[in-house]
Amino acid sequence: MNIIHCKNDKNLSLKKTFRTLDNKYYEDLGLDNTTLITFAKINSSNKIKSIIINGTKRLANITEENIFLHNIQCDSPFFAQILWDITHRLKLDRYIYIEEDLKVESFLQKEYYRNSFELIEVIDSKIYKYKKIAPLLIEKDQGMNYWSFCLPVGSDDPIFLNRCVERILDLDIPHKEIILCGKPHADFEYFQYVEVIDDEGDGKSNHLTKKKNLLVKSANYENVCILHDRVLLPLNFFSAVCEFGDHYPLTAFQSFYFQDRHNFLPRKYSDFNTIAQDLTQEIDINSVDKKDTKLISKLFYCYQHPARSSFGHDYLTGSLYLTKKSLWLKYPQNENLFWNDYEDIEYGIRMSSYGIPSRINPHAITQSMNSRSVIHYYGYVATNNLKGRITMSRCVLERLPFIKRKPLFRISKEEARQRIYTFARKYGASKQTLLLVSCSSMTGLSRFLIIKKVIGDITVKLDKIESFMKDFSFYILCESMAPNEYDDIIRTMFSSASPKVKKKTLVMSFILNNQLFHSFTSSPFYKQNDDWFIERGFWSWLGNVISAINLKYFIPGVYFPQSLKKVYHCLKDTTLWKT
Amino acid sequence: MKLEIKGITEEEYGLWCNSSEYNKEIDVIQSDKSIITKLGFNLEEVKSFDLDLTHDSYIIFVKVHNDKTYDIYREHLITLIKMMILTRKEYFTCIYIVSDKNQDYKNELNNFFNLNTHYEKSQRYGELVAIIKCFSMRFIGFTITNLIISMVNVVQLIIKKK
Repeated sequence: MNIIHCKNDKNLSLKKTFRTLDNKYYEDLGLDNTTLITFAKINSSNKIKSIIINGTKRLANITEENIFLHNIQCDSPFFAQILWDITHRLKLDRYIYIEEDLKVESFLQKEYYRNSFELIEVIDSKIYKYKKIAPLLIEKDQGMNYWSFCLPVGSDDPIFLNRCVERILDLDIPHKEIILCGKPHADFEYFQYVEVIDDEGDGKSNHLTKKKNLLVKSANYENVCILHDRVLLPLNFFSAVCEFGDHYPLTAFQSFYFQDRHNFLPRKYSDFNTIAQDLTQEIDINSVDKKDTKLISKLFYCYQHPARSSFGHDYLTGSLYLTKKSLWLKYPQNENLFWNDYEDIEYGIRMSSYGIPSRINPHAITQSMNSRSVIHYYGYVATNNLKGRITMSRCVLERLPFIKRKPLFRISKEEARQRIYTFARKYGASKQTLLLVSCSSMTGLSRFLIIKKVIGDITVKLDKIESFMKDFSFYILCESMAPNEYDDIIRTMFSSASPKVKKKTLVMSFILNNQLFHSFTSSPFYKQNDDWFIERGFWSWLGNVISAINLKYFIPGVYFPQSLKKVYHCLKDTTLWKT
Repeated sequence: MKLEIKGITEEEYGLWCNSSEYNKEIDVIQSDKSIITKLGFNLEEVKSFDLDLTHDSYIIFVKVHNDKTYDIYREHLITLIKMMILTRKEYFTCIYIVSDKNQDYKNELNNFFNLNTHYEKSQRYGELVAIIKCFSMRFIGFTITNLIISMVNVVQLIIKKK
């Protein structure tokens, strides 16, 4: 019997196991051709293979025919991913022995595994012997050479979509296809290289879940990469996925958004999160609909460190999914939910209830080409750091005001002015206020003060509050509010609080203040359509070098096991360069 | 929903109750289909208004004795109007404030239902705090800014208690 001694990565500050492996007992069991995997201490003079486990580590080199998992669930938070990797490598008609000191939930009875494993016997009332009787669902989708890239798209200005598709076309992958779902703008440049499918929608609502499901149904290849059109994939995509290995579960890359024009200010942006509460205890995870989103919005969620794992709580945030086609088809997204309905949380938690983990491939990163201000709290993100402590993290350079930021909005200054003007007129602002709107310089601060002036001046009948709030989002904020903040404001607006308190709630709303934080003296609006793109030169080189150092050594919640030079190349290769 | 807020004195209300001549002053009551609700005329019943919202036209008399009773009825009125808004039907509602100070109360309610703040002397809506918070978050950082905010909240609470 081979023994592999797993150790939880000591940097994660996890408690060490107190259990000791009784070698003799397991040798006496006479299990031939079996590898025993344990986290317990081993008293043996023989040299034993040791593996350090963390959230990004895969167990790929186990060649024995049968596997014995000893107290994996009791000793490691990485049990789900270990089981995933082991069970997919196990050959048909081979055995997996599972022993746990405590009566834990039987993982192989979960939906994903149930039909592939049969309980053969229970040895000494504690060792459960399972036989693999059928291949697991994604085993038929073997291989990494065929990729379908699926993009749900809208019909707005395709500046980012063009770059996103251009990057996919640049990737060195043996076989690939690109499918878009929606109605791309006429200025989209790559119609001849992509397949466009109809989203069957009404054009009003963003039915993202349905679009993603339709895309995967249309995919011809077994590996599927579902990504939003603002995501710029890494040039080393293919080598990164190959290095991570086949039979991957729901996977994504770490994602960053550079706030400035020279890549000095990286921010974590929508990749891998964790939710504090057990959602399956709060709601029926298999029948979530829109009414449940209010409850989900009240729960605490933050970025998860890629090297950590909290199975049943972790989820990918929906901008990028690397998955097998068969897995998605068997477990599609919930079409009762739309964009901004926490559909990503529901999906990740539901998948884990079936036994499917979500994790990060650390061998590459993506960059987001633009950002929503609600993702950050005054430049900070709440992150579970390497030690498992929740911290508010940001790049130290964020405090430097003179670093030129990218535009916050995909609209021009004049369009923003027109929106505020329309809003002010609609709700009865005085001529003096309207004049102020038309004369405002529209820097971040002056825009904020104009908005305050408009809000102070307008009147709204109580029964029109809901449509007023929609107008406030569109004309004033120019982006969607987070559902929980929207609900809080609606509650205040319908309360018996005085009109002044209600208006104060609007002026002091988190989203508006976050927008103000972005820029004080400069304009948050774009001048040219390529304001988000980075100019090659000394400053962007320096920005990438400093950001590589910050990301590798200083910013919590980020994980780069590779060398500093490779981190620099990761950043360089995902930068949205000006052409 | 069409909402009107009017004010009459107790004397006018008394005349209306006892003389049909005065109906001219309280013009909406000429509609026979109106549902009339009275708040504050019988203090024991003030908390239990059972309004049938299936009709189209409502008249609500609110008898206000002093500012304290007004505070109570104001909450009830808001609840009633919210009930109507949530029913999403085109109602016509007229609220009569029966009080000697009816003009003040009427104006306050009008401003409330229209989210009007023109009458406020100070036209500040927390913008200074928002700007200072942004600066503080940028230069001082999250931890200290939040500590300062917590301390300010505690001091405010202590002052309020005193």
